[in-house]
Amino acid sequence: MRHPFQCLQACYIPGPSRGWIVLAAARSQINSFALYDGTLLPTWDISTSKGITDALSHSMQSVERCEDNPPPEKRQKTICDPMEGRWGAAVLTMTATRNHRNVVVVTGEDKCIRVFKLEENGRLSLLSERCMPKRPCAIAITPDDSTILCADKFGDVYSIPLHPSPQPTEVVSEGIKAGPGRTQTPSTSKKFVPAANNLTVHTARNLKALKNQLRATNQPSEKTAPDFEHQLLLGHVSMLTDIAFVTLDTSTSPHGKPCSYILTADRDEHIRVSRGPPQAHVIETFCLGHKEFVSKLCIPHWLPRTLISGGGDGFLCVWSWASGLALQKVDMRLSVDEYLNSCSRSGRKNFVGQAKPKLEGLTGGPGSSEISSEDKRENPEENTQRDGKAHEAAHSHKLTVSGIWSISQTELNRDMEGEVEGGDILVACEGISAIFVFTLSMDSMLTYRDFIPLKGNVLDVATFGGEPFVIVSVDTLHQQNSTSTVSDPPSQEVALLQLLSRSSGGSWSDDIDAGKIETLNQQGSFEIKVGLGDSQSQVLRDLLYKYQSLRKQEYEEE
Amino acid sequence: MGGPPPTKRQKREDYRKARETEELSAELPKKKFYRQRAHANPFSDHRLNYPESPDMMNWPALYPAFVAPPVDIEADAAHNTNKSGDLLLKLTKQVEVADIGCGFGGLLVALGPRFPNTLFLGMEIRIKVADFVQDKIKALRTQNGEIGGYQNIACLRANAMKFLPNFFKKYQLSKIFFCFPDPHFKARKHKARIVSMTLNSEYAYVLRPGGIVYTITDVEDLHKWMVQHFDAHPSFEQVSEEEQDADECVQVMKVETEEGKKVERNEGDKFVACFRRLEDPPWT
Ligand SMILES: C[S@@+](CC[C@H](N)C(=O)[O-])C[C@H]1O[C@@H](n2cnc3c(N)ncnc32)[C@H](O)[C@@H]1O
Repeated sequence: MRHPFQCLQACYIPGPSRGWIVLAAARSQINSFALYDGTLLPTWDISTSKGITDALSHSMQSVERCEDNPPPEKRQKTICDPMEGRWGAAVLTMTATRNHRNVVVVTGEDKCIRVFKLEENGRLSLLSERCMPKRPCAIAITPDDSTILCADKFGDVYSIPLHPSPQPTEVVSEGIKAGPGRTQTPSTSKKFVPAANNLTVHTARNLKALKNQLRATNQPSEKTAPDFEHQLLLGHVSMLTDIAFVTLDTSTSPHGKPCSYILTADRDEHIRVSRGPPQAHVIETFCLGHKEFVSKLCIPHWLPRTLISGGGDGFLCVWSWASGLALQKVDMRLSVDEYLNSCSRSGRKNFVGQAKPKLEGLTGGPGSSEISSEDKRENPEENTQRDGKAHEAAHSHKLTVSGIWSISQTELNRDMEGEVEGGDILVACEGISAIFVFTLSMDSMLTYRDFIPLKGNVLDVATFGGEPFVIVSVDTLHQQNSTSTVSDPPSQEVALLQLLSRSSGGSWSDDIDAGKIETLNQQGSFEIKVGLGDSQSQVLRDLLYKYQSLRKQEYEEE
Repeated sequence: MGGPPPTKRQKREDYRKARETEELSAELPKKKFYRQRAHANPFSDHRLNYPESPDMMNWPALYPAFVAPPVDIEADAAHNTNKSGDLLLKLTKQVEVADIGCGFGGLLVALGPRFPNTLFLGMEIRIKVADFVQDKIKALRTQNGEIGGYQNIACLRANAMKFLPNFFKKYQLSKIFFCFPDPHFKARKHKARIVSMTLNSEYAYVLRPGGIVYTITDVEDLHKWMVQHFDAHPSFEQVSEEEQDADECVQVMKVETEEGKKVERNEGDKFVACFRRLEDPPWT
């Protein structure tokens, strides 16, 4: 069984024999894959900060930056024993700069932002590594590719230059009105280095201890401010979940000249609209209307004054964000139920056998959509019924919008003549095994079209700048439409990635020509043992389904 | 006879229930029935009630004497109903002054009668303390029924560090008070302070240009912190000492808050600083 890809990013390499590269992250390992000729390129492993030429043959790609390569013995161990080596910092997001020359990778456990160069041959090479004071949750890159905005778990947004200045002379920690005398010199105190590192961590318990060690000692205080250039732009008193940076040009801006904005979403239902730097202290408005945490922000670049947000309330909201005006609310429950009903009606046979629930070693954590306890009666004859129940669980469970992607029809229909109207919006819900297709018109009307059933729960989608296809990463580990029940036996025939394409008529479907991504499907990622221990499967579940833990627990008043 | 003696909680509930009925409603509430731990964590998810957005706020429930006569009920009903389908009536005026962390409400009770045409709202995160202020205002309104006193002050249980924009629109307020805020001495806890660079942007959002932020504390270190953070924020400038001394509200704030009185009794220092909300800069 292979570790699913929790996150994807497409990059374009310009040039005659070049084209699209797909970056796919499995825990801390990043595969790069040349879509144009189907070759698997060298792999990067974040937890070891080492490039690996070929994960299967155990050979190492030496990387300029890392002179301190571990002895070969240890190196091999990390590679060939993923169960021990790969539970290090997991990739949360990968974002390409607008010019596609750099990729910014965010990892959670070590709170790091790494900037890679995308070489002409599709390889990644590490340029910089910066650890933020708090765990980053989402980033945005300014359209001029100069600056990274990092939104963190503590509610703050920091800006850091894409490329750190070689010698930081002054470090601005509170940059709202940074004048002379307000800058801080880099701290001289050393960052705490734990005794063990991710290489030497062998068990989940060790890992936990290491995490705690890191957590307890790398808390930012006045003493341990980052020693690289960074600026605090704004902050919520709530965990941030997503961030977007938009520049409206003269034709779309309400002020008759180009204006930039930062949109931030938090766990307390807020979407805040602030001005872009250097006026990020000015809040322009709020977009209020979600009833639970906001999970995703999507501003189609072809309709930049419109925002589509998704939330833990299972709603999509369409906004005229600059004025905070809600235009439309769409309940995903209706479309999801339609899909789930179609599963239990016709598709059930497909799931039986392939996706028997495995019950030992995997009990639902808090908030996971666990099948009711009566399912624990092991009875092979009841598979059909049990699968039905899995869907029932998804039926009654609260929905969270986990992904929103926009694809413009301008680009989709570039070969066709005539006026182009709007584009497609693809939506995923956490732990649901389908993509939901909407049309967004140029007057900001969102209309539901259809769902595309997939072979596993959707984890991420890579879009290709408006090309009429997308690659979807699916969860091959858990049963369809369940975030807690593991498939048993593991569904070998289910691929990690699915290629979907859009017909000229506008309908999306599984691409029969999926051979394009075959190498990545067969050789990407790494093997994990069937029947992981409880803590490991919990670690994995938290990585694949990060939103369920954001739901508020009700506190008793003291 | 028999049974365990009534618990504190039971006594408290009985007391509040008795206040609902006529017998106690005009009597000022007793603090001993409203005691609560000194600190509530502003970061945790309390079971809070707050409107989805300012438009959804049921203000008439707080200021019934200021309800505007419905112009066109049917048109209103179509547009202004909240979740439970209640008709959201409008007020003749908006809340204009917020007392953040109002504690037992001394400032509200003192300022209300001085500015009878201005609506004041106290916000307090500790539920029992907020209950106390609500009960006190109710009693004062009953006592002063004939003259319609204290109709312009109200208190809500709210976490002002998280949900201010749920209650107030941009530029809605003309004054915000921070009286004797919790000092959170340890550096590790500074993020819990109610004045910070990033929160000040939110205060600037709800405050109109020209509006004033009032701060007072007996902790010099916190005073310096507040001055430093408002001063460093481009949306605020500190008000001159002369102007400050001439402001009636400053005098009230010094002597009428419960904390202010306590400091007075202990002959402690009081540090006052006020800040004016500046116009937003032109877009660059
Ligand atoms: C020291 S008391 C001062 C009370 C009152 N202003 C006075 O001067 O007598 C500070 C008050 O702020 C309240 N508080 C702290 N954080 C708050 C928040 N985030 N939102 C609302 N109230 C808060 C506390 O519960 C406490 O009652």
